Amino acid sequence: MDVRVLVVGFGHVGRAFARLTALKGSLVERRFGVRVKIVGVVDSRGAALKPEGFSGAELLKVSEVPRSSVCFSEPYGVCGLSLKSLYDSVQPDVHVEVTPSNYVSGEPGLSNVMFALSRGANVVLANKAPLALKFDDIMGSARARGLKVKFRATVMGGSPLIDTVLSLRSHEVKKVYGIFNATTNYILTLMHESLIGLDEALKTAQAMGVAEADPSLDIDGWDAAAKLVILARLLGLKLNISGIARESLSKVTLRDVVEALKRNSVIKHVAGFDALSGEAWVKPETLSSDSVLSKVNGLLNAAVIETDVCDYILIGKGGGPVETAHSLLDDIVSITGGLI
Amino acid sequence: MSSWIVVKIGGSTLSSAGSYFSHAVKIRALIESGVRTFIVLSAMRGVTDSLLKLAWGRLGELEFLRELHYSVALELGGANLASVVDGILGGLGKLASTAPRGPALVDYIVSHGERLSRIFMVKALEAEGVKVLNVNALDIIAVRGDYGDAYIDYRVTFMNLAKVRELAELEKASPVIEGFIGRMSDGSIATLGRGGSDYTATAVASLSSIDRVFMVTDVPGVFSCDPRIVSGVRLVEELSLREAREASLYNVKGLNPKAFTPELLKEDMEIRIGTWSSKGTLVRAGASNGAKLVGYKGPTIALIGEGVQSVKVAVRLLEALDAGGVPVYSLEFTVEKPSISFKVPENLAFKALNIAHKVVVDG
Ligand SMILES: NC(=O)c1ccc[n+]([C@@H]2O[C@H](COP(=O)([O-])OP(=O)(O)OC[C@H]3O[C@@H](n4cnc5c(N)ncnc54)[C@H](OP(=O)(O)O)[C@@H]3O)[C@@H](O)[C@H]2O)c1
Repeated sequence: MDVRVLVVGFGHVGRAFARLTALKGSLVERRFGVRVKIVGVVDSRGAALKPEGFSGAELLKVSEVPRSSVCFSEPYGVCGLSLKSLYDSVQPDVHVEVTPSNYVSGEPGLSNVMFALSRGANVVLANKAPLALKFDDIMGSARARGLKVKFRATVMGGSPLIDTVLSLRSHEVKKVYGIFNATTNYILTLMHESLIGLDEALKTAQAMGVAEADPSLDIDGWDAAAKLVILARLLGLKLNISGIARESLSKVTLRDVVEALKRNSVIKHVAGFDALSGEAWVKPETLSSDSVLSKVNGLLNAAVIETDVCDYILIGKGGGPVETAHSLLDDIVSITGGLI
Repeated sequence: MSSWIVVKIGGSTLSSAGSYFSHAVKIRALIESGVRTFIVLSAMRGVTDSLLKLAWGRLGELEFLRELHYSVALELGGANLASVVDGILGGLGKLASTAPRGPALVDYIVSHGERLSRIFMVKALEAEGVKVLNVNALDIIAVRGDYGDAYIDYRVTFMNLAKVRELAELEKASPVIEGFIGRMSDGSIATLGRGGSDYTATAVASLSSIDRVFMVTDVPGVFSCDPRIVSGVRLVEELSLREAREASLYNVKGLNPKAFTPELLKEDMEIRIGTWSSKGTLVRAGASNGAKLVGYKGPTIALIGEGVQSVKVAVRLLEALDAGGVPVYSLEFTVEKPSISFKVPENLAFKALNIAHKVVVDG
């Protein structure tokens, strides 16, 4: 079965996804009978389109063009097209939304996703904002049209947390909490291991490509809060991003870290919600060094899911372009049913 | 024998747009002769050292790096590529001047030599009409261990390379990949240490079941001793895999220890080291016996060649050293290694090298 995929957003994740599809496309086809054909990739200035689907070599090539310039890549580049014209020319079955997350307006992701659904495309997201702000609208629109929306890449993008939560169908989830932001966890790990201040740790994280030039979405807890909303909505809880108590990591000093270490503890930026009380939070917490979360370091994330039956802990990659790209590909295969 | 060959382009041969073009012409000719190529790239000459200095805060290096890369980019890809390269180097300069230093950051900066070189080689090959698979080493070469001296995770890399081979076969394209760098499990970039591109090349070959490797350098092959110390050195025509491995442990130029680790060297492998036009040195199983070269590492000198590990050769060597007035502190050989190693006073090491080399030349 051929699946025509349009990739909207062609930065770290979009490119990793294109390269992954080039290299693992045959494997996926052999195992699941699904041939993933990328028919277009889009960045903020334009697109490269090939209605019959790019070859592997072409995908590897377009993944190497400089940022914001896919539209100049010969011979498939087109500059400044509207999403409507893109859809008219490539008619995708699946829309992959990997534009930046904007938690104020949800744009451009929100409009893109709604448009994709209106044109009969299933949607796979790594961009969290549309779901964090308009979960019900998106799902309602998809349901009304018999379409699927998958978003495993949005929370612990490199690990199957969403699938795990969805699979707990007969459990009553009491509480979910954990470390859901890789950037802040990396920064905190550096602060504890190298005994440096937040500014220096942040600069290192930026240098290593772990933190954005503007890290406020991570440091101030927006990113983790958006993930909580998505998790809560999965469980049918009406949590809004504005209703989450957020405490920024920026107030954590080296002195706090040293004090915590003296008490055989560590500081982590923990996010969670209590399904019974409806309370939700993102805040720096001092954890005893024998707790599970205290041992989750660097770019790893962790989720603790407490249910009426038992508790589950998932530790794994929080994101990373390659890992997130795998989640996108897995979602596409699961939308199309696959052989297994 | 498979029709594939891994061609590793050494940094000493890369210094201008013309050098990329001339490699591209040779590679095209190889492909036209029915051989499939998997190309491994080093950074341009002098670039790795310069990037290292930049990473340690010597911002003056930017000028050399800019001058070199900008002109090559301009010629290979016009103003667009030149401005991309300029942007990349500008970014590295900013990082080097503002970010706290550490081994991971150093490797990140240093890795750009190979990354830029791949961009250039792809351009040159495309201009020659070669269909290229532009492979990012960070997607394929999984590494572990320390920054600056990482080693390849063979299991993961094997699985990744299988996909590259499959795609290359399917699309009849030549993979081009950076040597020297790989991706740690946390997503960061690590380098493989000195001679890391050779290591990538033999690993790519071994893990992709490719039995031929051509390491293209600017010298005609491996010499029988260091020509800066010993006169009358000659080109070694053939080495066994064991001899190459042994020689790599004694700083013999052109042979890198990691590239010749036993687990990578399959019996049917042939590794040629040399220029495009020279016959080069052929490393292969079944090479003839006899003393072939002399290497040294610190105070230890080694006479290397299958069969030299015998009392007869040891006595000859000791007699020659004695006749030359060089006392020997210790000498050892075992049946397992194709070498005799010995220690002499430091001030007589060069003399000892010359004497041992004469044993090689006299056969
Ligand atoms: N990075 C991760 O590990 C990770 C993990 C999980 C989830 N995510 C989420 O995945 C999304 C993408 O992340 P990323 O790291 O790939 O970000 P990124 O590198 O900034 O890439 C974003 C891409 O979106 C493009 N874009 C921006 N506005 C656009 C518009 N109006 N129309 C079309 N394209 C537009 C950008 O274009 P230009 O190239 O022209 O700027 C860029 O190509 C984000 O929402 C992020 O939160 C990321």
